[in-house]
Amino acid sequence: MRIQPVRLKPNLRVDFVFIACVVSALLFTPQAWGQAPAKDKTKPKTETPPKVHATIELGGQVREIQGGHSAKFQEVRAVPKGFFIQKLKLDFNSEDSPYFLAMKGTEILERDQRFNVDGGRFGKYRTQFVWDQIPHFFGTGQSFLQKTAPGVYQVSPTLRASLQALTLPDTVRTPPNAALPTLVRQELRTAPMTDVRLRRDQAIFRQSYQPSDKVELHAQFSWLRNRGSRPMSAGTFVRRPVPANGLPDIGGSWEGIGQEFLEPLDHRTTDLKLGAQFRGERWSAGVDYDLSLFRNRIGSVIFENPFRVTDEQGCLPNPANPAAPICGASNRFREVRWQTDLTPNNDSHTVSFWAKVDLTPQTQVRGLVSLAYWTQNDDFLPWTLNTAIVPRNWDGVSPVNNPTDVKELPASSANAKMRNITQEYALVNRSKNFRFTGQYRSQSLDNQTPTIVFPGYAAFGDSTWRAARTDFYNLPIENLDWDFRRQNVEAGFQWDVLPQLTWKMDYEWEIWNRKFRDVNRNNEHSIRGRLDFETILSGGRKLSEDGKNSSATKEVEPGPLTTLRLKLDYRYSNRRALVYNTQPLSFNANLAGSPPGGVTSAWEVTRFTVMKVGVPMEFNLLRRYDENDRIRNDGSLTLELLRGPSTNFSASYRYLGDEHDKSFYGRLFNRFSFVDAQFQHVFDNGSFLYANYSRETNSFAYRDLAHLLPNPPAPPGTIVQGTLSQYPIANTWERTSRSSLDSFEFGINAAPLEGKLQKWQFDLSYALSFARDRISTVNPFTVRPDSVLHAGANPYPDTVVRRQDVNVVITRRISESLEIGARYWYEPYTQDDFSFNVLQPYTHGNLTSDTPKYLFQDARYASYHANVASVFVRYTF
Amino acid sequence: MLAQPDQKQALPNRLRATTVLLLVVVLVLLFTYSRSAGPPAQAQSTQVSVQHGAAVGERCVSCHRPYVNSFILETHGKSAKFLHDSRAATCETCHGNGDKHIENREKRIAVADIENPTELKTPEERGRANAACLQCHSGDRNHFNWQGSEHDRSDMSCMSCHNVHHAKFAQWALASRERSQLDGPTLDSEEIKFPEKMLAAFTVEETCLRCHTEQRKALFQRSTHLFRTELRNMKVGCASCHNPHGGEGGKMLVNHTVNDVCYTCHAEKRGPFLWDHPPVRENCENCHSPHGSNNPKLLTHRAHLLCQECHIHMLPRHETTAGKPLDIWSINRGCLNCHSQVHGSNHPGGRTFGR
Repeated sequence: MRIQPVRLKPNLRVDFVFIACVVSALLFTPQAWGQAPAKDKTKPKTETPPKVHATIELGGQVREIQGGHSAKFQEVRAVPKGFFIQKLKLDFNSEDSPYFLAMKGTEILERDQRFNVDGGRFGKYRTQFVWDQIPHFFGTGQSFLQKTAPGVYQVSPTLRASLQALTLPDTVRTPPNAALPTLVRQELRTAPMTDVRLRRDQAIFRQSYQPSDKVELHAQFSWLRNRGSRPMSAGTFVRRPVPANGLPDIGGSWEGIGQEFLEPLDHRTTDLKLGAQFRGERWSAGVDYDLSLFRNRIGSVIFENPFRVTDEQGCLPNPANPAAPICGASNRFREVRWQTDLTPNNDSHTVSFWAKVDLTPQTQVRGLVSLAYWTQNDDFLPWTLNTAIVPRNWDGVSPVNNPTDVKELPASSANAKMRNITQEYALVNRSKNFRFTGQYRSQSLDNQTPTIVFPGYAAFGDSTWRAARTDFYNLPIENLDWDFRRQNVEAGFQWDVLPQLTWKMDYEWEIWNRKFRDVNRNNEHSIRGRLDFETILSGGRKLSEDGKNSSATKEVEPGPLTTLRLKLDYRYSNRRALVYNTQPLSFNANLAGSPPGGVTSAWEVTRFTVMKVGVPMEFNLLRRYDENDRIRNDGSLTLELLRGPSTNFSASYRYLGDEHDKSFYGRLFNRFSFVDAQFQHVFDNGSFLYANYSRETNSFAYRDLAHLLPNPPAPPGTIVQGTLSQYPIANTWERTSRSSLDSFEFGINAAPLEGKLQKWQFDLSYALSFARDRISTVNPFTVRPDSVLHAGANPYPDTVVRRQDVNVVITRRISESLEIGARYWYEPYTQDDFSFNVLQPYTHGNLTSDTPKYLFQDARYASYHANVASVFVRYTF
Repeated sequence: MLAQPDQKQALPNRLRATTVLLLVVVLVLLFTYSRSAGPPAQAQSTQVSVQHGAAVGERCVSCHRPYVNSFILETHGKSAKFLHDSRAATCETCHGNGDKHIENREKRIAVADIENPTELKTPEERGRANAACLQCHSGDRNHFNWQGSEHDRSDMSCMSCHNVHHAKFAQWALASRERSQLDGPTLDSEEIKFPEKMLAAFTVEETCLRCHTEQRKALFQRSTHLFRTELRNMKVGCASCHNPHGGEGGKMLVNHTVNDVCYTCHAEKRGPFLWDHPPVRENCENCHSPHGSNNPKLLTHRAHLLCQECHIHMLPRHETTAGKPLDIWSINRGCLNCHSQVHGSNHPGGRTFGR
C-alpha cells in the first residue's frame, strides 16, 4: 500500500522533531543503556546486561464508509486506508542501572499520531517529551467563497453582479422559484468543495530535578497549535409578520439573512511553567510560575457578500422627511464585505504558593494562593466595511462621520485586564475512627478593563447604524467592568460507627458576590449525608487462634471472599438570591386589544421608563437559572457485590433535580436520573466477560413569552426612544425537553491458558448508545391574535442519535516474540436531527418564511455505516 | 485582490520570546544533567547500588519470587537499590517488619504477621496503608490536597487504583482483561506487566470508570471529550482535567476552577474581551457538559433551547417566539448562526456577540 505524499509531508516535520528529541535524549543520557559512565571505576563486574524491550506493530487496513455526510466517523480520529504502523516502542531498563529510557509512538504517520519519550535517573532527574496530534473533521463544505489570503474569502465579481441585478425591490417578497434563487442554486452546483478540518498539535517538554530528597525543581514548556478552518457564520434576524393584522412579512424580502463561512484558525498557545517544591519531616511547600501566551495569527476574517457588488444602507427614503430615512427594517445584509473579529491575542501570568504542615500525626493544615493576571490589547477593527452607512448622531454629542475609519473609534483597543486570585485553605484531622475536614475556597475575579462608551455601531446585517437612543432605551453602549467573588466554606466529619459502617456528614456554604449582573449576592447552603456499609458475606474471615482473643486471629477462612458494599448518599442544597435586579417595567392590568375573556395583563416599557445602568435589559419577570432561587436534591444508592477476585456485580441509581422558582419566567426545573448495572466475570480458563447497561434521562422546562410587534413607537421628545416593548402574559409559552440515553456494552475475551487454542486470543465487543430527545411546547393561555407568527406553540420532531460499535479481534502467537492478528470493526451511526437535516448550501423559504434564506457551508454530520478490516503483526523482543 | 486583514505583526517579538524560552529550556536541561551526572554522585550511587541492591527483597525472594523480580525493575525497587535517603522503598516500607512473618513461614499463621495493603478492608486499615504511601508521595503539589479530598473521604486506599506488584497478573487472562473495553488490541506483554503509573487497571481511564460508571456513557455519546482513536487510545483522558490525588477546586480538578482547566487547551476563550459574556466567564459548565452530551459541542441543552432559558429580550426589535423547527435559531448552530462570538467579542460592534 502506498502512503499519500500529501499526508506524509507534514508528518516528516513531526518525525524530525521526534528524532531530534530522541537523539538529544540519547546524547544526554548515555547511561540509559544501562552502562555507568566511563569514569565510574566502582561499577561491579557482575552487572547484568541491560534489558531492552522493543515492540513494533504494523499492518494493513481496508475501509468502507457509506453515507452522504459521513465525516462524523473521523470527527476526532484518523482511520486511514492502507499500510499503518500502530505502535513502535523501545524500553531500556536494567535492574543494575538507575537510569531508564522509554520511547513510544502510536498510530505513526496518521493525523492522530502520538510520541512519548520518558527518561532519566531514578531520584535525580526526569525528562519527558510528548508530541500529540488531534484532528477535527467537520465535513465537506460547498460555497461561493474562495480563500484568496489568510482570512479573506472572495466571490467572483461576475457572479455578484449577476445576482445583484436580479434583486427585487425591498417591499417585494422573493419567491423560491424566482430568477435569483434559481441562479444561486444553479451556480452552487459547480461551486468548489472544501474539506473543513482542524488539527491540534501539541508538544510538551518537562524536566524535573531533585538535588536531594527534600527539594525538587521542575520546568515545563508546552506548545499547542490549532490550525485549519471551521464553520462560522454571520447573520441577522428575520422579523415575522403578524397575520391577523395583515402586516407584511418584512423578513421575507432579503436575498439572504446570513452566510456561513470558514473561520481560519492559526492559534498558538505557548506555556512555560517553572516550579520548586521543598519538604521537611512534617511540612512541604512550593512555588510555581506559569506564563501562558495565546497568539492568533489571523486576526479577522473578511468575506464578500455573493449578492452585492455595491454597498447599500438598510434604509428606505422617507418622503415626509428626506433627512431622516426609515432604517432598520429593510435592505439588510447588503454590504459588499463583512468583517468579523477573531479571537484576540492574550497573555496570562500566574504565581502560586502552597504549603502544608502536619501539626500532629493526625492533624494537617494547608493553604494555597494563586494570583493570575490576564491581559488583552489587540487593536480594534473598524465598525464596518460598508461605505454606504451614514451614522446618525442622535445624541448630538458623538458624531461619527465615517464608520469604516478606525480613527473615529473612542479608543484604539480595549486594554482589557483581569486579575484572578484563588485561595484554598484546609484543616484535616484523623483519629482512629473519626475524621474531620474543614475547608475554605475562594475565587476573586477583578475586572480592570476600562469602560469605553461607544456612540453606536453598525447592525441589522451590517447595513444600519444602531444607537443607544433608538435601540437601547438610552442606556449607553458601553462595556461594564463586571466581576465576581465566589467563596465556599465546607466542614464535614466521618465516623466509623462500626467496622462495617461509616457515617459522613458535610455542610457547605457557597457565596457569590457579583457586580453588574441580575443578582449581586447569592447564598447557597448544602447539607450532605452518606452511609457506607461493607460486610463480608462469606469466606476470607480471619479465624480465631484460641477463640478468646480476637486480636490474635491468625487463620483465614477458606473459599472465595464474597463482599457486599452499599453506599447511600444524599445532598440537599438551597440557593437564594438576596435581590434579583430587574428593569422598572410598568404593569398594565388591561392591555388594549386584549380579547374578551382572555388574559389581559401585561408588562410594558412606557415612554417615561428610565432604565437602570448595569442591569441586564430583559423582561422583568425573567429569572436566570445560574443565579435565581433553586432547591437541589441529589441522591444516590450504590450496591456492589464482589465474589473473589473473579466476579463483580454493581448497580447504582442517582437522581439530581434542580427546582427553580416556578412563579417566574426562565428555567423551571432540570432533572436527571441515572441507573446502571455492571457485571464482570473471569472464568477459570482465563476468559473474561463483561456487560454494562445504563440509562440516563434528563428533563428540563422553561417558561418564555412572545412580546408584541409592532410595538407603539415612542413619540419624539420622550424619555424612551424607539419602539416600546410590551409583554402580554397571554403570550406565555412553556417548553419541556425530555431526553434519554441508553448505553449498553458487552464483551468477551478468551485467551486459553492451555490446550489447542492456547496460542490464540479472541476478543469481541459490542457497544450501543441510543439517545432520544422529545420537545413539547404549550401555551397556557390563548395567544393574542395580534402576535407575530410562531408566537404560539409548534410541535418539534424527535431527535434520535444511535451509535453502535462492533469489534472483533483475533490474534495468534507464532513464537515468543511474534504475533499476528486480524481485526474487524463495524460502526453504524444514525442521526435524525431536524436542526441539521434541512441544511443545504442555499435554503430559501416559502411564503410563511418557515425556512430561512441562508447560505450554509453544508459541512455537517449525518448517518453513516463504516466497515474497517485490518491485519497486523506484532513483534516483540 | 483585497488587502489581508489585520494580521498580528509581531514576528520579531515572537521569535525573541521563542528564543528566550528555548534558551531557558536548554539551560534547565544542561543544568540538571550536569549536576546529576558528575563523578561524585555517580560513584556514590553505584556504591549504594552494590550494598543496597543486594538487600532488596533478599529475604522475601525465596517465597515471593515473581513479586520481587518485578519489584526490582520498577520505580520502588529501583529507589530501594539506588537511593539512600528517605525515598528508598524496600519491601518493609509498605509491608512492615517481616521478622515474625519469616519466623512463622512454615506455619499457616504467617499471613497475619505481615501487612498487605491490598487486603486492608476497614477505613482505618486503608488509612494506614495510605500513610505508608504518603511517607514519600505527599511532598508535591500533585498530592497536596489528598487529605480530606473527595477520594480520601470516600475511604479509598491508594491500592484502590494502584497495584505495585503486577507480576502476579502476568500469566493468566488478566493479561487480556479489559482490553476489549478500552485499550483495543494495542497492549503488549510489557504494558500488561507494567501498566502506566502502576495502576490496577491498564489505563487511567479504565481505572476511573470502574467506579465512575456514570461517565462511561460518554464513550459513545454524540459529542464527547472522551473520544478515542481507532485503536482506542484516549486523547483527552480523565487526568487531563482531574487530579485523583486531591486536586484543586471542588471536583478534584487540576486547576482551581473549571474555567482555568478549560483554558489549558482553549486559551482563546480566556480573553479578556471588550464584550465579555458573564455566565461564560463564571463557569463553562453553565452551558457545556464536559464529559459528553446528546447535543453537539458538548452543550447541556440544544443550542436555542439553552439560550432561551436566559434570554427573552427586552430589545424590542428582536422577537422571541416559541418558534418552529425550521426557524433560523432552531437549525444548525441555533442562535449562534448570528451570535457567533458568544464566548466574547473584541469588535467595537460586538456588543451582542455578532462579530
